[in-house]
This record gives sequence, structure tokens and C-alpha cells, in this order.
Amino acid sequence: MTEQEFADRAEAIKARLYRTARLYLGSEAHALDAVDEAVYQGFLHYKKLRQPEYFDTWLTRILINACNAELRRRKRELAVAELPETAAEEFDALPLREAIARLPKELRAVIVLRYFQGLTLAETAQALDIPPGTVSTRQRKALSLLKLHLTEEV
Amino acid sequence: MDRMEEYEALLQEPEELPPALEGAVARARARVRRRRLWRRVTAPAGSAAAVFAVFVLLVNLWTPFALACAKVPVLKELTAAVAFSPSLKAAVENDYVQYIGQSQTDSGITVNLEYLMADQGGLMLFLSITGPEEATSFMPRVEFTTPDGESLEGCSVLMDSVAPGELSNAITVAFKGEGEPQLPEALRLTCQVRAHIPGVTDYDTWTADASFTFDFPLDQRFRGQGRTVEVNRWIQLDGNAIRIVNLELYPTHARLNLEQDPDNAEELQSLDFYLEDEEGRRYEEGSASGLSALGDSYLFESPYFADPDSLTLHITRAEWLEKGREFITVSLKTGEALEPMPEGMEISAIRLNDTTALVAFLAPMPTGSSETSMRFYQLGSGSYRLPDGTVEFTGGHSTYASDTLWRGTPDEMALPEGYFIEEYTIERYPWDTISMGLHVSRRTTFDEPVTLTLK
Repeated sequence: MTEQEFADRAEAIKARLYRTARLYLGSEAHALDAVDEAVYQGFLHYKKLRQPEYFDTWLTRILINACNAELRRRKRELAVAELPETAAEEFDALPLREAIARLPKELRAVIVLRYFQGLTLAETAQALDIPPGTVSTRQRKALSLLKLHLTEEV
Repeated sequence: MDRMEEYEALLQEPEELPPALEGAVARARARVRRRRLWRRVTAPAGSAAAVFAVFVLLVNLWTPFALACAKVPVLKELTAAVAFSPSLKAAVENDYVQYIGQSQTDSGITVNLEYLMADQGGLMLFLSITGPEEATSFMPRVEFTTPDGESLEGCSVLMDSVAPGELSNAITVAFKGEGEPQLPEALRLTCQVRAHIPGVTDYDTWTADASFTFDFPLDQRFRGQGRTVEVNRWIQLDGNAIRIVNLELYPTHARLNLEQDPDNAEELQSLDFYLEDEEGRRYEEGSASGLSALGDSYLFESPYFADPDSLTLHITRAEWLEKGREFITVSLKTGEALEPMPEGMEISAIRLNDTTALVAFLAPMPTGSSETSMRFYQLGSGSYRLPDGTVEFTGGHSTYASDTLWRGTPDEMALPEGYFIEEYTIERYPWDTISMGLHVSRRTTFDEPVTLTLK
């Protein structure tokens, strides 16, 4: 892949990356920062991408890492309002967007990629670098907390 | 609208993309080019080691050269890294930075030691770490000595994890003493770094340590920096006598030093405050290192570079712990406290199994807390006392808002609205009662801040 090819492909999916980061971080400004950082990291490392067909999931993985770095940075600015997995009733009381934003981040990443970015279970596993079984477990927990009846397969 | 309808609506919701997204790829490309330019300027250590060594020496030993280097494009990253701290931002704007520019690689992990800020109050290192592509964070553990191996006395070293490639002030040192200059002429940083690789390591079993040793001189400008504003005034705060001793103003942070009257009935545990100058600029509590207090020395954002003519202290909240009431005993059989609890706080405990106990402090959420911006405060001290009097530490707790306590257990109970829970898990605890350490027994928010002109 050449630098220009990377730039073109990143350009093509930047809106999707932004929507993912926006939902994951719950903030427009932080989502923009995360996309900037992910594309920058992508520019630095695209030559290591051996299978260009996995470009989207590869860049999504970088984006999730950038979002997690953003969350760590934000820790100093504001108290993280993640709710524990035991707080089912609190999740019920929140609008869906807010409930997603307050899922523990491991569950949130799975929900955002699977049901908002439309990745398959295998692609989500690849993007998050976790076994498919772990994706399954996390999505089951998250769907149950959010009271969403969505397919858990594929 | 049920959850599924909400989901469909959220999926269909047209989201306006921010205009700044348009330039994301171009910005990243420009950043990569700046980085390449910077690498060419500094030259890879392998291909031009001698030039590199001279460059580093020049940067470290000759201030004008260091300042010139501080103006190269990479400074933008430093500016971004200090944006969260008004003190550090002012320090960078005043070129109060030493460029180090040393890089070492071991076991596939590279540590780039980039910048340093120091004063008599502390030392702050800016570094970035890269390693295996799959690594999502790195944890440095460091030790500071002089190049002769002599330890730095009277300091607290704080370390934070680092995201790959991110310039971060992950290592800070706070000097506890005052007065005598404590900065040596040169430092040795011995550093072990571990990588966290999802799916390969977890937070208990990171990769093996990569080891590094950096030697660098300290810019002489950093020595003797700082000034003290003597105050020496006793005040009555919330029924207790407190002496405002002085203010120590350093380039990277400032300190409000207090002394408590030993005859006070309560120990001051924490103080919320800000300082304000004649132009209405506020200097908030806290510091860039994340440290907010060292005993009775409270850290705040520094007015060092602004050098205001006047400074007024505004105390907004105080937390107290009644002397002789540092522990509260609770029964693990009934779950109830065996001694009166401080007002506005409750405790509950259950036994999870033969050896593990769960203890929860409960209190109403403070004013200003909402569903979207939860604010908690510390209730327990994190310690507990065994029946033989030995004090142990719990090693951590979780704090969350809930309307139910002990959810999913036979002891589940409803809580009044607006409560938060501070929950401790105590393992290897077979006894029937436990004495939990209290952090606070009274908490006062002043409707009108207690105000005192210090300068």
C-alpha cells in the first residue's frame, strides 16, 4: 500500500470512524482528537499492514486504542461516570445513547462496533484483538444491560 | 419508546459531521511529515551517533541552544501534552523546559525521554514509549539517583501508564521538604517498562521488564527556582484552629502550607479551595502530577509566572475526622454498625463466603451531582483493623451510585434515592466483626467561601 492509497482509504472511512469514536467517547471534540490520532498512527504504520483487505478493521483497532488513550487523558479532567455491570436498573433509567456511553469500556467497544458500525463478530474480535468467544460474552452482557434484543450471532 | 425503537432511532439519526473532520487526513499527513523532518534533524543514533551525542550535550548544557530546540515543530506535541495544566502551560510559554532527546531500545520497547521541567518543588519528565504494535499501554517503573547511585531523599515518585507514542508527563517527582535546594546537578533515571498487549497479557501479567538507564544533567536554571510568601496567620475554620503558614510558589506548581492546632477536636482531612489574584484570575487546587496534597501542604496551580500583586484564598469545603473515631466497627453477622456512625453516613457489611467480607459505606451524593456528572467523595480510609489491633490495607475500593445495595445477593436492599456506595472487598477475613477506617466524619460546604487575603 502506498501513502496515497492509505490516505484515500482513510478518507473514505473517516466519517464512520468519527461516528464510532463519538459514540464510544460521548464527545464531539474528543472523538475528533481520537480520529486525528488514529489516522496519524495509521500513516506511521500502514506499511506493516500485510493484508490490505483488513484495512477497515485494522484502522478501527487503532481508533479504539486512540479512544482508550483519550479516556485515560480525560480521567484527569472529569470523573469517569462508567456504571458497574451490576447497575442494571441505572442503565434502564438512561436514554440509550447515554446508557451506551456509561457501559464499562470493554462492553461499550463491542456494542459500538457490532451494532452501530455493523462489524461481524469475527471482525469485532479482530478489531479489538480479543477472542470471538470474549466478544460473544461481552455482547451478551451489554445487550442484557441495555435491554436490547438484537442477534448475537454472525 | 421502548429500547428497540430507541435503537432504531439512534441508528437512523442523521449525525452532522463536524467541519474539522474534513481535514483529518491532511492533518495527520502533515504531522507525519513534521515527525520525519524532526528525525532527520536529530539524526538516527545508529547512523550518526557522534553528531547525536554532541547534539544532546549541546541541548543539555547550553541553555540558548536548548531554547532554540524547544521552538522546533515537535514543541507542538509538548504544548498539547501540557494543555490540561495552567501551570505547565505557563511554564512552556516561558520556555521553562529542558530538552533531553535521549532514546533507548530494549526487548522491543523504545523509551524516548523528551523534556524535563524541574524546580525546588518537584521534577516532571515528558516521555513517549513505543513497542510491539499490538501493545495498548506501557507501564514505567522508575528510580531516580545521582549518577553516582546516591538516592534522592525526601521525595515521592508518581508514575502513570503511557499510551503508545503519546508524549506524556508520566513520571513526576514531588519533593516534600522546603527551603534547601534538593536538585542535584545531574540525574540517573533507572527505568523498567512493561507492555500491555490485549489478548496476550492482562493487567496482572504484563510482558517482562525492558530495562533502561538514562543519565542527564539538569539545567542550572532549575536550581533555586521558587519563592515563598510568608503568611503566618491563625484562623478559626469550622470550629478548629488552623495556621496558614505560607505559600510556596514554583514554576510547575504551588503549595499552600497549613498547620493544625494539636488541641483541635478534629483532624483536617482535606480542603477545597482556590486562590484569586487582583485581576480575578483563579488558581485552582491540584497539580499536573495529579497530587493534590502532601500532608498539610495543599498543591494548587501556580501563579509563579503571572506574579500577581495580591492573592486571596477562598476555602469552599473542608473535611474533618473526629479524633479518637478513626475506626468504626461493624458486625459481619448482622451487617450493622456496633458504634454510632458519623452524621450523613451509613455502613453495611455482609459475608460473601467463609473468608471474604464485603463492606460498604453509604452517603448521599453531594450537591451538584447529577446523572450525567456524578461526584463522589471518599468515606473510608482504605484500612481496616483486625481483632488483635493490627491495621491492614484493603488495596482498593469501588465507588458507584445505585438505588440497591448488595444486588443479586440474599441481603439485597433498596437505598433511598441519590445515594452512592463505596464498597470494599476484604479477603482472608474469618472474624465476625470488622473495624473499618474512616476518612471523614464531617464534611462542610461553605455557602459563602471563607476568604483570606494572603498577599
